[in-house]
Amino acid sequence: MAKISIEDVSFSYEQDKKNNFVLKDVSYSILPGDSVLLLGPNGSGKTTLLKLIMGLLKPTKGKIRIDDADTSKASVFEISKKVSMIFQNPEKQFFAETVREELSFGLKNRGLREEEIKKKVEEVAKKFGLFEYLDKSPFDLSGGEKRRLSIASIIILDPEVLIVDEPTAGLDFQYRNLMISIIRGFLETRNKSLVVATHDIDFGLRIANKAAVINEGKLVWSGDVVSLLREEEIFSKGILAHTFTSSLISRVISQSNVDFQKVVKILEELTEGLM
Amino acid sequence: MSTEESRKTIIRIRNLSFKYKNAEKNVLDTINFDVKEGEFVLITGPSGSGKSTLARILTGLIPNSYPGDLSGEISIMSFDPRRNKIYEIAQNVGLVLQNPENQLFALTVEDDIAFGPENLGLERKEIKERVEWSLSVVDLQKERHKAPFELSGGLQQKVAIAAVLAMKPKILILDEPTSYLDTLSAIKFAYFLNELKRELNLTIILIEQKIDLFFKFLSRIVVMNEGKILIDDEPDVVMNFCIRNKIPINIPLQLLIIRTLGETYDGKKLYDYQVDDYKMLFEKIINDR
Repeated sequence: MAKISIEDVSFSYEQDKKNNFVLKDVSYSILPGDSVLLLGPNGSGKTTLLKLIMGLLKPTKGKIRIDDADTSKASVFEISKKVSMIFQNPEKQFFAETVREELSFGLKNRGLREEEIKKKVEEVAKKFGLFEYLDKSPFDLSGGEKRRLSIASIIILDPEVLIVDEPTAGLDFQYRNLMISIIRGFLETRNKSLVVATHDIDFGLRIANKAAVINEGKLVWSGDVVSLLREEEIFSKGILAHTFTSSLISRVISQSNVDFQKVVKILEELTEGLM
Repeated sequence: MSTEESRKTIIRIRNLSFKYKNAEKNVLDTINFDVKEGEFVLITGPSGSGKSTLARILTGLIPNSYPGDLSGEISIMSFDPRRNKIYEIAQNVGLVLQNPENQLFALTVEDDIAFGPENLGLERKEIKERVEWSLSVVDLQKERHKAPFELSGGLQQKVAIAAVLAMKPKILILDEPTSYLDTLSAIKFAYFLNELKRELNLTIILIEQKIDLFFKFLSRIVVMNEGKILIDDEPDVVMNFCIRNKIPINIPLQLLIIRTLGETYDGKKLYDYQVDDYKMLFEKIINDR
């Protein structure tokens, strides 16, 4: 289990000028077991924050610690032992000649024994419906299979913290549901945590227990998802917008006091007939 | 005769099949598809069902930029992409892509919009008029000197549309234009698109997964699967068909709630209800369990 502390972080892409801050004075902690929904309009700084957590960017001010390690001093390799990220359009990152090699790569880097790698790769491939393609080229897979492989190659590393950027953009109904079941499966293990940046609030409500809202580089709200749904100002000010589904959930839980998890479950049952 | 029926058919497709070069099987398989002037048609379906391929044919990118085996009858305002060049079709059919960043390249909004008309070899005065007109249609006059990349996703998508409108097309085709937009921008975009259609008397073909955002504006919905058209009809008819046959697409939740409660609430259009009405209906579903 890993704890991520974001301490008073500001970031500017123009390091020399130190103005034009994309993020400004952001402080937030991600604890083991947290599943955090990172929300905010286009261009608010969500992806930048994720890259900072991964150590791909260094804060201009402030620091980010993963447990006790400062990310601006640790190597990306060190950070990736605990935290793994699934990027937007992850299927663009394949490089291996076979699905098996693609899945084995990260494990080899960690120095696992060959039999151990083989066992893990086959287990994960089965879970993701990729077993029969193990000796095929990743580039010969269909769009949906490619996306499954890209996620499988991260999940196989068994990170303590999983970070995902816009996982549902451009996904159809079935793959969106597949993404939900994969993420839920990951969170079943105790003390794993998740940070997901998304515009798809309906998707987010099905997997998250906490939310953080960024607007114009500032953290303007944080708390649990149920409180977010009771929060009127964030929505009335136009920082976030409700979908029909989220506004319905919001009204049912705040005006009628029905349990949030129960509402989500019933809504899922309504669409289940289509699966 | 109703106005719907008296409208002119501007796209007519018969027995259309297409196979990309070196591919094993057809991406489109004997498609029949008509669009009448002024319609707002939404095309949906799982990934890989052939939606984007159809858009590429309607804009002439297939076979001009993507080679392959194309067969069947095609008439897009009497153009046929096998006989006509992309630029001829582009003056009648505009294409807006999923990610505006893939479509924008100039240093200022103005230059991006002027690029198409410049390439048509129009006179300076005409180019200037078209740029002004496009900027005003999408309400981006204030941003004209800004770099497209500085703008938010929603505004970038508007620049992409303005650049397409400057070609004065009759038909606008959009391929999942809201994928990268936040919810508020996506909602605004749906209204904007409907206004645009009315003001300019455009015909719109929209490829989209988020059916509920556009539902109330649509003339028809087309559902594709594995290169075929499963159903092509009025929105209500299509939704009922998809629920009955368990077609995995994003059915608007409003409709699922009403259907779950049975016949009682039929006869009223889906969007005549407010969220609070649905809340009452939904609570009835909760209590029934």
